Amino acid sequence: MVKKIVLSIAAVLFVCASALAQNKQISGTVTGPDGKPVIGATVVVEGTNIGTSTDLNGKYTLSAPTNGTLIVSFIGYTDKSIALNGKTTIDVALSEDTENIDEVVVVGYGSGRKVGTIIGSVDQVKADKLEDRPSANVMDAMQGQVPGLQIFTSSGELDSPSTIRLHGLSSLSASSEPLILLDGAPITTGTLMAMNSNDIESMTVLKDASATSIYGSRAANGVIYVTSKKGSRGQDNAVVTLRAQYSLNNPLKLRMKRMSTDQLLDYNAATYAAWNGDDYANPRVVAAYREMLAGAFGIEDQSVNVDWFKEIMRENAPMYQVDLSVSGGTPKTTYYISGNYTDQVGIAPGSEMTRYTFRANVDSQVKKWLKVGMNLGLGYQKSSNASTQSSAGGLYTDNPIFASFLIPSYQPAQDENGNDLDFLSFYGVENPKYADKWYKLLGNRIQLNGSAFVQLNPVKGLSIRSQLSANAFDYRSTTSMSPSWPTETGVQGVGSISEGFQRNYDWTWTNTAEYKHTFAEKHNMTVLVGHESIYGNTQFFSAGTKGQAFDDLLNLGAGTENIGLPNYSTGEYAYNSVFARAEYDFAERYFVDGSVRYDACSRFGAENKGAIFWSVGAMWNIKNEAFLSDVKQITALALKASYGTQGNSSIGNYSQYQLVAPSSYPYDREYAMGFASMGNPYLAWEKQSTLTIGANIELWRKLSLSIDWYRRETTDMLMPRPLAPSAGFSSYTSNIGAMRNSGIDVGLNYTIFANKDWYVNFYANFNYNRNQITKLWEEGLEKSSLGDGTMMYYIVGKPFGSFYCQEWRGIDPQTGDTLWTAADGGTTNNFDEAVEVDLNKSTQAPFSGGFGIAVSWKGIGLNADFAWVQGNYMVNNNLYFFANPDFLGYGQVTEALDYWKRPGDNVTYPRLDVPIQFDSHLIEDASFLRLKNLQVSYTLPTHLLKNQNILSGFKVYVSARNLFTATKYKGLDPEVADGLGAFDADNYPNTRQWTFGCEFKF
Amino acid sequence: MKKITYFIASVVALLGLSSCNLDMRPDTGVLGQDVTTIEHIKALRNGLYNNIVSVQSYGNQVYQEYYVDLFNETMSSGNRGGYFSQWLLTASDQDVNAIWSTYYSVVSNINYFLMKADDVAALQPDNAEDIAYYKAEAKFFRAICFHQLALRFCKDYTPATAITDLGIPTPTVYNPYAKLERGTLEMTYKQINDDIKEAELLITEAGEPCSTRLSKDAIAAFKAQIALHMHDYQNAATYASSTYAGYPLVNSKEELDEMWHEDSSTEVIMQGTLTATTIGLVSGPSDYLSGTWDFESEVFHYTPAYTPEQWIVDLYGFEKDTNNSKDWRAGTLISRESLYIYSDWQTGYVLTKFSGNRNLFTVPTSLTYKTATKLFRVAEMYLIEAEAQYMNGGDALTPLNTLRQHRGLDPLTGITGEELMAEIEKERVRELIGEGHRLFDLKRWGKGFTRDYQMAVSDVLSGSKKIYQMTQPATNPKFVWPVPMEELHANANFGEQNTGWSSVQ
Repeated sequence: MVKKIVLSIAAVLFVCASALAQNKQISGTVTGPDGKPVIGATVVVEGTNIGTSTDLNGKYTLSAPTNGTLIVSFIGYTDKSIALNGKTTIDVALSEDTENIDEVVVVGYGSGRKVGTIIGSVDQVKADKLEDRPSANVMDAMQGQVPGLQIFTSSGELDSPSTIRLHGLSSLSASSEPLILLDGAPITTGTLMAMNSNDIESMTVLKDASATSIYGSRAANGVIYVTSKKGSRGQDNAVVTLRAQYSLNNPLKLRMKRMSTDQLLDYNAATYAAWNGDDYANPRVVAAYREMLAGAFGIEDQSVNVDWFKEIMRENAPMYQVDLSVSGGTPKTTYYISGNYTDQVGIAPGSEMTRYTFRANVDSQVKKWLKVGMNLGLGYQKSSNASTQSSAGGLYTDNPIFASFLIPSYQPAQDENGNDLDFLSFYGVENPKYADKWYKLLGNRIQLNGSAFVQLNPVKGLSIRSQLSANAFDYRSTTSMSPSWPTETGVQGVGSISEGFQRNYDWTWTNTAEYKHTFAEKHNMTVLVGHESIYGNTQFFSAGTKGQAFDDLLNLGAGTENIGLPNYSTGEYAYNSVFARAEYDFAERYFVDGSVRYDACSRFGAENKGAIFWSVGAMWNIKNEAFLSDVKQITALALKASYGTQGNSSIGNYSQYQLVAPSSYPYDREYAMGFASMGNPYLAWEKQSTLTIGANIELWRKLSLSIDWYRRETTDMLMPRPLAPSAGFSSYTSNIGAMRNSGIDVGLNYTIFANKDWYVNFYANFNYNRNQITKLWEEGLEKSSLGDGTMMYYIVGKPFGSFYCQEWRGIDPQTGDTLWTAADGGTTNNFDEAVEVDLNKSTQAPFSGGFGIAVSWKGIGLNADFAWVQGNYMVNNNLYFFANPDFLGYGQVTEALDYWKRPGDNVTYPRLDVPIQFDSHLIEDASFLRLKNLQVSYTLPTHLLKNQNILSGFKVYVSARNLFTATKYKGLDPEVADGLGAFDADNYPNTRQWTFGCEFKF
Repeated sequence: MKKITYFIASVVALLGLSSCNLDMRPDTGVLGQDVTTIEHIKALRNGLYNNIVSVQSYGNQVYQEYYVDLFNETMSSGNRGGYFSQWLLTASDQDVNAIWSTYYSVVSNINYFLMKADDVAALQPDNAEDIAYYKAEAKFFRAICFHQLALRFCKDYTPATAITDLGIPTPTVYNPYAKLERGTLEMTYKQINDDIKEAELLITEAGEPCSTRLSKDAIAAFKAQIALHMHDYQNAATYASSTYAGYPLVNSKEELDEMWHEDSSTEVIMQGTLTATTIGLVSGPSDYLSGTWDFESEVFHYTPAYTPEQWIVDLYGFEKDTNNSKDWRAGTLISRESLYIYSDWQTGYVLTKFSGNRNLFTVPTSLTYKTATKLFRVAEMYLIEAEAQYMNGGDALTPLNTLRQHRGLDPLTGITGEELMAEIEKERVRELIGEGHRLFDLKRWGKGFTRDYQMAVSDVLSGSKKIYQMTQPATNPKFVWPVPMEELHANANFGEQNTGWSSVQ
């Protein structure tokens, strides 16, 4: 099948590339206003299909009829037409296009629009910010690039998706992830993560109602529009790019330090003394207990002092990446073909990933009125995971992240012969450093993202387009336990394996008709209508066997019996939609637009399947007013406002139904079923309205500033409404709550200096977002716990994830007791009397942003990108385990040594016989500033490449990711958290990477 | 004009294109409204059996065992069950919430079943008789759930104060939105007895050993339990002794071993089915053992998270530091084994009762800890009769000695009064250890406890002597567990929290 596709693509390319008529040879050089050659300018003969593009020296050659007219164009320059009049050498000097410097952005359906004429609030991130990054995860590079878009790479696991939030959290039960579109078709975050980031031309973030409402029921969290790369029309000198890079990954710098054997034994001995009511401040008492404990534990050699974090975590874990792309085009056809190979090893044992991707994007203007195209991406990704929370390990002692702190330092790493131990007897589990030898968590994914379109242009201004997209992936997972799994006294002796298969596919068929027309030269209008149907399907089954006796025969067929019955599930969903959009502007000064969409979705109850979403927007481009035309300092100035509605339908496919399902277990050989789901037939869309008011200004063509103020109101918010457990259920999902996000986005871009040799640019962006729950499930209900043990409440008027719990008030210097806030506002040393207090802290960061600088001088480039968030809090759940005397026999961190010994001590940890409670002392400021990317590159000047015609460009670079992080957070990584964004316990941290790479262009 | 015509024509063409069907239903379940046949009802009935077998499986009975003076937590516990062992429970404890919620979830399933059963009986009158029988079973299961909840979350049933003591909500209709009051303990037990009465009207056939379905005998056994807990000794003795004939006690150590390690015995009045396919249904208490096979010396070594206290070991009359004893249970249900805890090799006693049904082991060297859920055993009936007779001033020695003699022990003679009661209490521990009775027994007897520990594990016990030498007086109100905060938060009608537990919300 793949072979056939490749062959047919090759055939298409071949046909398109031949077919140039024979005429008179014309040649010349195209230069820019500075007299330097313009590379890649398009030169075509008007009214024909003849065309070419200029080479590295700005030269072109083509055959043209002697009476023809050449049209020379290049982005950012004004098109120039020159009549040939028999001349054979024509040099062309292009001048900068001061009107047309903006690039094209796709907003909604239909053709692209110039940035300056879009009413909607959009931000575009181009390939240069995404290429050559030391992470295989494309979203990681987006962090800090777009105001209001928060991205957290919430696990160091190589195939785990980032968390993406635009303008805060808008939903509690449905998803808060933006809609991601690849060339117009919806894809999942996972699919985007599995793509080659070098295949992406741009990512456009659509933020306000004017830009997103046309996506209706899926647009509540904004839209990220991903455009894959294409060739350039008429560029018959194809560009071949070969890129190779090598990275080394290392753990981030630790802020928690493991206790040494000495420290740990003394700490344990002091604890033991405290439990027995002895004076643990007396070193002689401690020494006596220490000998007693060492004897009891059987610690023979107290000089053993192993740093288990270093022992378990890999250093200099490598990553290779090679990719090759070919792009080019004839006057009628463009093509872009690429292949990529990535191989990466993570820092935690078992964490590995290998990925192959291929992409072919082709389009062709086959007739004057007909254009067809096809984009096809194929990928295969094979991964192995560490047994951390994100996979299956959970809060278990054999989780490598957890173990790297909890294994006591006196646990030797090697046996007497110097071989690494398989089993750690003081810790009671197999050596986590080799856990992946015995416990495998493997997955592989093959994915296909394809779309094909036909576009008709029957009359000028009207384009009718039909696009069919398919996104599909198969995911295979394997979990196995080896028979040689080490135990205290040998090996388990019996293995097991389970295999899962998941197939997901969805079809999106989009049909649009767009008509653009200009009346009386000044009245520009565009009208678009369309229809869209989406169908999605998921299938899953898994089976397991056990009894495998050999490590090398650990497969499903080699067991002796089944592990229960196989699992099976399927799911389907569909949307039918119609939509329309109208835009009008007068002389590019006054703009208005409006859109409306009707969506019907299978996921909602019969009464609530359909909904209408709409938007209106207006913009005043003040710069185009006569009174500003002479003001040279102001090069752009516009004001805009939009309002509209969107929906959120990211819930389970069948949440509306009351269901009875087969039991996995027959009873007494008879068929059994059980009550599976109570269902809510009244389930409906989560609705949202967004009001955005913005302005942008550009001065001296160098300094641009944009400011947007927004308010997003989520109503009919899907929320788990608590039920009395005695009625049989803990909660059910219903359209009951309301939430608001309001804030501002500020973007600044300043080209400080730009001349022949120098280019210095600075950018910064900032977002303030105030998240507030505005209504809970009952009128008048002001707050409700998120669940006991979470320390969080839903509080009306406050952000989601507000900490409201027993407040730790320090240690009483006189008694060494822990103090908590009591009912009277004072303190108590009795945890049962401690009251829950609103800490005015939340998991949601009100401030976030990024800034960076790009400097280049004669081919040497320096790029630095910083990302930051401020004002969010996280539970450093690790410390509950790593700084707790009750965990006698486990490793601890040095922070816990600051415990109370005698009256007058001002310390952070209580007397050793006072139990550590799960209270506010674990809540830490998780704000951080991170140097996300630092890159130094050197691009070989073109004149050095003059005397050969093989290489047309060469670049080398060194880059670093997460080189430096400033934070007060004491855990492993402030960026990682669980699904609630609140707990950091045994999460796999991000890494620091150094990358060396080079790029050849032929 | 031509342009506009084109435009409109293309729009119409687009809208005319086909759309997806939006009526999508799952194919991995049946919609509630489609549960209309006797086959559905039969399948749901089996689902209820699964529910009871699962919720009553031995892995779910460990918490009340850890709470009392049966086991010491070792450094291998990984804090599993530690909050029970250390008496650190709070109303926010997630294990307590899980126990509460799981029983009520089964009750809700039962009430849903009863509703659907009525619907189907109306549609298919020919099947009304079968459906009525299934409903009787369901009500019996409901009574079991209510009783299990009352044992954990209410005070001991004392006839004089039950009318004012706090009960638990007893929902009898399917209503996920209900917010029920906890009522009094009197009301709770009335509902339990009402359910039993309805069940025994239709479930009238005698069972046979190891029945997998409800029988008249299972109902009698349950009635004996209820009567004992209600201090209704006359009836407790009558119901208990009514089961003896059909379920003879075993006559050898081997037969006793088969009861626990092959799930086969004449003593079992009712137990859930357990096969290799359904092994995942029951939860196994692996923390008593965690055994690994030593392929060289061909023995199991154990890393238990909980080891029996010394006084428990002493109850079985082992000859010093051996596995030898007259008591058949010694060496089979509790055994002296090689222990490896926290790098420390010792020989000590562990609870081997729940090492699992060995016929279902994948390989003999790998334990599963999965034992069929024995809902009712005749041995407990002898103990109920003994206690009831004692309390009523009747002949307690006969039932006690009958059981003793079928456990390899000599009959006791000439003892009376507290000495006799002490023997009954000891016999209950010996026979029922690990099955989750002792906390409820202590409450019924109004007794506290003091823990001790085996010297063999003294170096590797978790926590301080405050834990492993803990004393709890019977007056401590925390013998009654806290109602989970989730209930109090979501149910404004519930009523008070139990005495002694923080009611801060």
